[in-house]
Amino acid sequence: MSEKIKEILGEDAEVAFAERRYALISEILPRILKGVRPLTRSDLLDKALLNKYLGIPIFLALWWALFRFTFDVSAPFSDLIRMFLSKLGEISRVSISNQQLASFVADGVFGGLGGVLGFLPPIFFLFLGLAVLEDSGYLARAAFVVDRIMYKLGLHGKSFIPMLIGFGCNIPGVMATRTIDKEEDRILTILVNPLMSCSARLPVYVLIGSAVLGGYAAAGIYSMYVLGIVLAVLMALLFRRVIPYFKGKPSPFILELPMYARPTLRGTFSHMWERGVLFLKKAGTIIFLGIIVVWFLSSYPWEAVHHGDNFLLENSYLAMLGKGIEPIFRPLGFNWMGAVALFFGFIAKEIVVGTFATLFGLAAGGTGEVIPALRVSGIFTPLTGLAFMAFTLIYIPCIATIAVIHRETASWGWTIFAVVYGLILAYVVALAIVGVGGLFGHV
Amino acid sequence: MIIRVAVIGNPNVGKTLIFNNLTGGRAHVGNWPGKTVEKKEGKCLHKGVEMQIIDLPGTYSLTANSIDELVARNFIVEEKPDVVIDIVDASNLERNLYLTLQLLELEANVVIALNKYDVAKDLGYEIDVKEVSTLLGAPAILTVATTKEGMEELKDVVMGAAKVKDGKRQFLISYGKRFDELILRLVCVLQKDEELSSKYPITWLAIKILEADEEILKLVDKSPCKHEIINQLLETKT
Amino acid sequence: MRLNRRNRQIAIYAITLGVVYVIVGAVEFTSGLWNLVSPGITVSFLGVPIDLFGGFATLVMGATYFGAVPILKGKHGSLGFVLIGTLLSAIFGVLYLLIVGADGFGTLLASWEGEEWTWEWLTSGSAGPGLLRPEIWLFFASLPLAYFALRTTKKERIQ
Repeated sequence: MSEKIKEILGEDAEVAFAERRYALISEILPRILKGVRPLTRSDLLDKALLNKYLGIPIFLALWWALFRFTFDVSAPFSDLIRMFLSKLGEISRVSISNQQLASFVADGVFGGLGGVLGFLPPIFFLFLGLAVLEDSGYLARAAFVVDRIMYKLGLHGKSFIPMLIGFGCNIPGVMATRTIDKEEDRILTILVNPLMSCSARLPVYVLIGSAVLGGYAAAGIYSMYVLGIVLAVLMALLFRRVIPYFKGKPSPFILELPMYARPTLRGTFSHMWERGVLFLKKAGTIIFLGIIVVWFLSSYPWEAVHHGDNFLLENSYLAMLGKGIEPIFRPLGFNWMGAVALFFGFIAKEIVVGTFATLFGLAAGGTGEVIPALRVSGIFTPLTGLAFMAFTLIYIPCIATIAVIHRETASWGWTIFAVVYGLILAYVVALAIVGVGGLFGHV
Repeated sequence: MIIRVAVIGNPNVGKTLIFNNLTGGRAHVGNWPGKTVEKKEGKCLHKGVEMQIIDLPGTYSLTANSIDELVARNFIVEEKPDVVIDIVDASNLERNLYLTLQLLELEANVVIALNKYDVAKDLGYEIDVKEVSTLLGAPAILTVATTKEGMEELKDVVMGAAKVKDGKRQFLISYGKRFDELILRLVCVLQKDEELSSKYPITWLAIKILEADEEILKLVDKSPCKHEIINQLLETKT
Repeated sequence: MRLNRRNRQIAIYAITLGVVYVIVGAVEFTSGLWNLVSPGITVSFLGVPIDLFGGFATLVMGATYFGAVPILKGKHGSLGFVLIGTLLSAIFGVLYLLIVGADGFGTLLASWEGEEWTWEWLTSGSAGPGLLRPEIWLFFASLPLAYFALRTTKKERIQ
């Protein structure tokens, strides 16, 4: 019946009524309220940060600073960790007599796991930066500014905060959608949340970026985050237009802005530490398991792979799996190793890096560090590397996320939809990158 | 005699603190039937009169868009509390008054508590409490919940308001000639539905219908007057 | 208001900085764009680094400083733009300094691995021309501006 009424009345009466009420309040206000509120420094800061035109560019600029910080300043720390772990790997290879055990410890543990741990500094630096942005009160302004644009585009408000949380990990990001009242808006936000680049994908970007993007590495990583936001907005718009369930007026939002505060050293570091430790814990469990599996599949059948003095990766179970799925990825320029990494990445994104680390550790016969090894192997060109990063960005982050989506939407339908559209979109975008880049003469 | 008092207001205006001040911190916490929203109830004894205080969810308005708003709205409409204390953040009048207007249209027996008055003063504001009462047709008090300033007066005013519950004049907002006419016509039609008109304030119903309020429309859908209502609307289509 | 003259000075200082930022940013951005679109050709003007996103950020800082223009007309509320502008200048200035430091640390680590020690990291590296990066010097130039702007906005002011 509401459709009928809207049809009859033409204009949106609800809005007209609300406007009239606010107009009445403006009439009453001067009669009951005297005195003027002086501008506080907080108001002054907001003038620029929430400015119609400057708000979003400032947000983008700050985000860029965050990524330069995350990538370029953390780089030597990563080098330090890798140097240390590869030394341990060398020692263990030499001192353990059993060949299989030696390989497991040197290549599987120190090589694979160590490879992943080398990416810990960027994660800590990222969380440090985010903690500063959050504790200072800026992030709420950023959320407001982005939500405002999204609202103008016809999307609902209150959706950027769950998305911001998604930058840390998509799981709490999905759960944070509980603050959204309307169920349709909530499910829509859940569906696009995985496009927010979570911290587990960062190691993949750092790996590929360092290996093949050279000086443009930080730029490549930054573009992944921006791409994620852009795609999230586009997909939300698309879904709203195309899927009947989502049609309808978005509910307006009110966002309370906290006071500005100077972030304390202790507070910020403790935030950063909390989240960094989470990553460490994950590394210790799922990733470790994943790496063991990868090591196993790439070392066996033992005789075929370890033929004489050579390491013939092509004879391993892993290669068989990889070559099997390779054809799907060939248009994108990924070879079987990339395909296999993406395959295991379905379980958890950290495993993608672990896979490469283990593979190169084995192939190089030991302490080859993964980034130079990847570069030298020529598996990725700058363009296909970028496409690979985009693929990693877009397809579903991990099994745990799928589980949470199912729990929050209480529907297998939506869950499966989320996974499927993610895969399709990932493929399309990666293809587009390779295609368009090719037109410009990039390779 | 027990006076039933509901407490409502925007989030973060000090509602919880005032509720605690009134009930002495002792409250019975449960759930609104069938919902996941928390319901708090407490008692207050003042000058020999017992007041039952019910804490409604904090909301910015009373639309049908969220569970919190519906729970609050339905309580006021169905349970018809003797008094509704609207807690307003005095340092943020503009936004808070929106809810106040909606409460007045709901024909609730409103008492306005202008809380956080200390913050408002620090910001350089001065509030003319008398004008507030005059303009809105509801008694208003300045309070500072953190220091319990104004609490005794609040209790007095609430008791006084409970006595005049049914003798209040209606608070009408003009929505422009076109809508005002429509509202009047719908009111005439709605009066014929005995069930609806005895349960709900009719003018408010008319306004909600025009706003295409989902919950109200569900109600009206079952009403015998449904078609007449649609006709009235069709007639005005210019 | 007594503070009128001081605010005018602040505004002019900010706008001047803004002009420089915009010019630098424009050069960085367009050379970055050119490089992206026609790879293989590296063009750079007067040693200003080629930096697509960095250039964009620098442009944003310039634009923010331009927000100080209304101060000349008496709208002191626009001091907020000066505050944010100097904050951004500081963030990027310190950032590029940190990057130069990180490059130095990296060179140190490489020397432990047997590579030769150089001082190259001071003038070339991840931050483009290292210490010669314009944003670092502009940051130093913005420090006095920050000081004065913070001073005037300390007391709460009535508009």
